[in-house]
Amino acid sequence: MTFASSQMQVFPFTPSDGFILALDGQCNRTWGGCLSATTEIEIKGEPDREKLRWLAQEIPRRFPFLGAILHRGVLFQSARWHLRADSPPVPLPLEFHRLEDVPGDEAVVTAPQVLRMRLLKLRLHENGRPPHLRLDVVRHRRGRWLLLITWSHLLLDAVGIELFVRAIARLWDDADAVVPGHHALHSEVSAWQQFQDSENIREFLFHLSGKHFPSASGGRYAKGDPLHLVETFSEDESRRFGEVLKSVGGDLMAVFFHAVIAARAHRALLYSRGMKHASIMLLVPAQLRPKTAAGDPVIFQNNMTMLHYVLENDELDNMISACRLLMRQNVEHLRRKHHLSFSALLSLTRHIPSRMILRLIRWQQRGELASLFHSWTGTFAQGIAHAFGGRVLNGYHIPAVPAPAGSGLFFSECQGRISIVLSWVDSCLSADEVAIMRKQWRHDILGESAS
Amino acid sequence: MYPPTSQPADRTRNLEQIVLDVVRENLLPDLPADCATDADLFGAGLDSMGIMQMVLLLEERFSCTVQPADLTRLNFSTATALATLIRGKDGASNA
Repeated sequence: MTFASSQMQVFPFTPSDGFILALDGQCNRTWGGCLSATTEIEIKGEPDREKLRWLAQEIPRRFPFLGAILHRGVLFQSARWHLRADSPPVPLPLEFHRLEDVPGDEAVVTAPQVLRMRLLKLRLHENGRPPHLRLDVVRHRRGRWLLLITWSHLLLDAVGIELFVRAIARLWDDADAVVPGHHALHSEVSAWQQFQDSENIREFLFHLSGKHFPSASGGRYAKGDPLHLVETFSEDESRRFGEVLKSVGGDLMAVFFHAVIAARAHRALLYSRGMKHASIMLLVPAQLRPKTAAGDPVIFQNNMTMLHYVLENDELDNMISACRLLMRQNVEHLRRKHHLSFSALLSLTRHIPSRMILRLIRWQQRGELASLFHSWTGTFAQGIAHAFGGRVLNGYHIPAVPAPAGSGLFFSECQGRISIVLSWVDSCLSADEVAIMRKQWRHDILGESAS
Repeated sequence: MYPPTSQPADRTRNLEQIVLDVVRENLLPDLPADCATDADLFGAGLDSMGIMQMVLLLEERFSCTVQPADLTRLNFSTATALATLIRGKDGASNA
């Protein structure tokens, strides 16, 4: 961390700032927004508006990093976060809404999905300036309400936002609660060292470059709004989901199990487009999360270290063998230390102009970044059961995805119920294609007919 | 077949303690020196990435092949459970 003046902290944030900035710019070109996600928490009871207003004011005071500004580097100078220590914290944007048939004086939304679409389309930040996060509240029917936290990937990722939810839930219950401190990248390894450290993953990616992994966007830059579909399974359906997982292996196989379901849904899409022999590549985040001095995992961390999983078309015929294959690929990635090597590669990209990063990747992968975006974030906020004055009924993330790849399939679990979120750019998937993908995952999870 | 032949001194220690040392050296450096072999490794910070690194360590250091069915929270929860898993593999390979 350097100090440009006594009041200004200037620092790199994470190794992936450059790549995230590139994807953020890609979202801007796709729909005029940014690389953001909305985390939706469904809570029993009624929202406490006064306390929510207090929370919107208190959060920036307790998390000053939310006021940081990302400055793009000039040519090969990496992006840098600037944080003014003397500027007063600005309250988070907070808006109250209600569904049409719920009486009240808040703004009316016809459905939560409509509001989520509006939020995802927003240009949350302007050129890396705050706000990087906003809050929206929707009063729902039957004594429940929704807290929607829309956040920029420049500062957070799904694991980070869940840590953040837990931290602000503690603040809600106790205004004096201690929140985790921050962590910024301190030691800068030389570019030459990063180049050497990234050798393994560069070699791996070089061998991948002959393959074609068609995405929903077909490898083209596509324009269109970010759309999404959320499917939350009932407790009974989620139990059946768990039984299918048991047939694959132990409960810790979940990460591979969900990846295979995502890959098979994408394969169904490719089949419907006449691509019967295409390979599929999934990028699955590998959590390399630093800890604060107090030993807490850091909240503000845009982790983008990915492990590449490749499945040939016929390897996806059998879910059990496909899961085994992914597990072996994972072990092999770790044996070759691809997670560390990829992180070094990301650090290198911080010195490359963001548009050039995507061009390089797409040139190497025949226009594509991956077949689709995917993640399994596990139990929402480590099983948080009570927050913001009520029982937590559900929680999941809806990320906006750029094109390419143009679509993403994300899984999470909350209170024993599995949620699947399909995100896409509207020019990349038709309504029929969305139905085909959904039919496939319902077939894989519930045994419903896929034809 | 365990522990690795390059560390003959390990032969005098029990497997649970060896596993705990492997976890401390490679995954959870903050584990206290007097940590019990039945201490909860997830509570100590073992995450999904750590689990798969543990799989690799089991295969490289203890020469056993971990199967998908072995990937349960129970098997990875403590050094004692991991040692039981390794012994099971050893028995199976000797059978």
